[in-house]
Parts: sequence; C-alpha cells; structure tokens
Amino acid sequence: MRPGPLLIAPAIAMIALFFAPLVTMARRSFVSDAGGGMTLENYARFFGDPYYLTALAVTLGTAVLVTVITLLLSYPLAYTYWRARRRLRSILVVLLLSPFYANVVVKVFGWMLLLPTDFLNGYPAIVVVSVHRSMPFMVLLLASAMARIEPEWLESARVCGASGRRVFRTVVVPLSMPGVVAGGIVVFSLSVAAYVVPALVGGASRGQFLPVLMYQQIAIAQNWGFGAAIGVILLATSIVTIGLGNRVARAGRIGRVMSDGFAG
Amino acid sequence: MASPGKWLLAGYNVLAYAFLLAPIALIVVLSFSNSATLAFPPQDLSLRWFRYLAGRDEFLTATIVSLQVAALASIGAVMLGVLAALALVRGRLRGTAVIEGALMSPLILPGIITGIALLQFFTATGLVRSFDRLVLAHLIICMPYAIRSVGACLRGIDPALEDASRTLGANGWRTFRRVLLPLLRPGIVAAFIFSFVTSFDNVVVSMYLIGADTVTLPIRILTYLEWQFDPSIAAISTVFIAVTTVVVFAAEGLTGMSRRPSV
Repeated sequence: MRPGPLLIAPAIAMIALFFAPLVTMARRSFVSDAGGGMTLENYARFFGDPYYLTALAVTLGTAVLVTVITLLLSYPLAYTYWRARRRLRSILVVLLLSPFYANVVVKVFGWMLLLPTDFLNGYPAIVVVSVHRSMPFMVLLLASAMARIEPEWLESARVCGASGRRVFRTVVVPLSMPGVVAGGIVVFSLSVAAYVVPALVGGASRGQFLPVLMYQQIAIAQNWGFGAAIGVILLATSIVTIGLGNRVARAGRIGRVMSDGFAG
Repeated sequence: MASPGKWLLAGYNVLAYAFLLAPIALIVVLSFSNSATLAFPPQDLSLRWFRYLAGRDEFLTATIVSLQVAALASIGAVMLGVLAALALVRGRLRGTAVIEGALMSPLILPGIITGIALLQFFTATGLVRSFDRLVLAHLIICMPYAIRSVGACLRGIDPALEDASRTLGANGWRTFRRVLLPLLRPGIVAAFIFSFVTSFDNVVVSMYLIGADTVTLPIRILTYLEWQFDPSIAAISTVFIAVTTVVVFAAEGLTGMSRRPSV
C-alpha cells in the first residue's frame, strides 16, 4: 500500500497555521505602537535603552548559569541511572518522571512553600527553581545518550589496564557528549523562554527577564509592536542557540542534536 | 569506581532526589491539612480543603475546560498525526526531511512566543471565540508528539503485512482498518496520552488565549497564587498531580515508554 501524498495535507494546513502567526508577529514588530507605517522604531527602542539591553544580558546570562549548574548536578544522577540494575532503574524512572510531569505552576507553588520568605522573591530563587525544573530533562537526555555506550567498551578499557577513574574520564565522558549538548540546548532554551518561574518567584528582578517584559508589554501595556519585537529577539536567540548546538555536535561528530520539550 | 566513591555517589543521589521531590511532596502533605494556613507540619489531617474545592465553581469549571480542550486537541492531533505519519513513513514524498522538520517545529519554538504569535494572528483574522482559539492552539502544539509517536510505531511495522493484505484483495481503506490500525494501537495510545498531558499542562500558550469563561486549570492555579495563599491551592495542585500521574503511569503500563531510549 502506498498512501497518497494528500494524507499529509491536513497536518501541513495545521502547521501553516503555526507559521502564519510567526509572520504576523514579525511584521507587527516593524509597526510603531503609535501608529503609522513600517519602522525600526521598536528595535531602536530595545537596543537603544540600557534597561532592555541589561534585561537581554540577564536573561541570557541566567540561562547559561542555570544550564551549567543543571548539567553538573544532573550528571551523577544520569550516571547512576545508567549503571543501575533493572529494578532500581524502574524506581528511579518514577522518581524522575514525577517532577518531570508535574506542572510548572505546581512546582513553583511547592517552592514558595519551601523557601524562606526573605530568599523567595529574588534572583537566587529564580536560579534554584529553574535548576529544579530543568534537572529531569537533563538527566533523561544524558541517560539516553549513555544508554548507547556498550558495557563491553568499559570492560575492554578495564582489561587494558585503565583505572575506574580513567575509564570514566576517557570513555564515559566523551561518549556521553551528545547528551551533554542535547541537554544543554534543551535547558538553555527552556530557561531563556521561561515566564512562570521569574514572574512568580523573581520579586523585583522579574522585570529583568525578557519573557516577563514581553508579556507585560502585550497583555498590560498593549504595546503589541514593541512586545512583538521582544518576541522576535527571543526567537532569534532560540534559533541561534539550536543552530550553534547542532554545529558543535557536527564538529565533534556526535550526530544531530535532538531538541525537544520546550513546553514553556 | 572505588567503594568510598560509590557511597558518595549513592549519598548524592539521595540528596538530589530529595531536592527534586521535596516541593511536590510538601504540597501533597499540606493539602490534607486541617488548618487555615499552610504551616508545616500540619496539626491535623483532614479532607477539609478537598471538600472546600468541591464547593467552588471556578475550580470545577476550570477543570472541565482543561479536560475538554485536552480531549478535543488530542483527538484532532492524533487524527492528523496518523495521516501525516502514514504519508511520511509509507508514502514516497519528495522532501520528507524538510516536511518533517516543519511539522516538528512547534517543539522547538518557545511556548511563550507561540502564544503571542497566535494571539496576534487570531485577533487579526477575527477568530474571537476563546474556546476555539485554545483548542486550535493546543492542537498545533500537540501534533508533533502525535506524529512522532505514531511514526515511531509505524516504522516498526513490516510493510510486507500491508502488501499481503493488498495481494489478498483488500483495498487501501480495508487494509488500513483491518491490518494497520490494530498494529498501530500502541502508537496511537501513546500519541493520545502525550498530547493530552501536553495540553492539560500548558500554561504559556493558553495564557494569551483564554477568556473569562475559558480559564484552564493551571492558569486558575496561577492566578490564585497571586492573591489567595491557603491549603485550597495545595488541594487543587494535588488533584492536578493526581490526574497527570494517573494518565502518565497508565500510559507507561500500556506502552512501556521507559523502555524506549528517548524521552
């Protein structure tokens, strides 16, 4: 049976409904909120104002910080998961999937209960909660990369006389790099675009995060053009990150990076 | 690795999983509190706050809206996903890679941008009913999961079975219904469940598209967090966690997701 190409038409129509709004948004970003024709005014406002430039730097810098901390904290968990026997592994997957599938609002609420009030509304709280939110993604992606390492390879390294530490450093770490890149991209993109976490636990520093600024511009100030421009800048950041990640992956000959799970 | 290293690693694992689970566990415990505040540990255990919830219309309405949107969006996503997967995997399309990339793109785009873009687009094109907006938007973000799940399942089915059915005289539709559809069932179940959870869980796309009478459950919780801070939020969060957990682990039982290498 050869299904006709027409079968894909409905899905294509639906995806057109996804791309058309992006074009609308991009066009809207060139229209002044004061009215009138096409202009670069919104972008000039963003890149001409130190406040927005700082916000861009804080948003990107925080995403890098969260990605690095998440990677360091997740690697031992992924390693344990990979080395675990079947029984332990089925317990660990439940422990990982519970926070993975818990709604972000619910998780943030849990942290509001857990963190002391003076710590809560500020920059450190954003980092802690973002790391918490990102860890299950990172562990699962690292573990799925490690799953492709054959146990025999470790054994042959041992047989050839390498110490446990050396096997880890020269076999496990290099072979898990696809997971590091994939996890890094997913967590970075997730953090750059996060709205709920900075909005709820960020206190005054929430105003330094682009997704929050974008929401405020559109939903509260009704500056649709300026909000759209912030959206385009965020979008460009995501695309550049994924592109760079894929390039790193190719340069290191570690395959194409899977990018998945940007639920928001 | 040496033995002390192993113990260190085990100890770290315990701490890290405690960190991952603490906020969720705390919510569940506090939802059974009998007091008026969110103090830990709770003095008495009771179902007081669940009874309170049952009497609050806004939570019931939000739950119903969320379930309706998730059901409609998932059904639509699965139907389109089956068709698209058939064309991508079995049809000899030109430029399959490009088409597949385009179909997967909602996964890559930050939800907050999808939300804003759809809001501006729907407003510009005059689609004003917020329920329709929500269902369409959720269908779009669920479709990649559906295509991927059904496609993965279809790749594992031997095309010779379909050829045999055709050789024995069944037409295309009959082959699909009697041969492919039963074999695709695990993929379809997984697609439906992934889509359902994705939709039920969504905050940042819905945030722009809801109307006064179509507030979804996570957004209702979000707005409550801003002004009401009592165990009722813990109770509704516990209900939320319970629904997601049941769906996810039912899916796990039905399809064995954890045996697959990817998330």
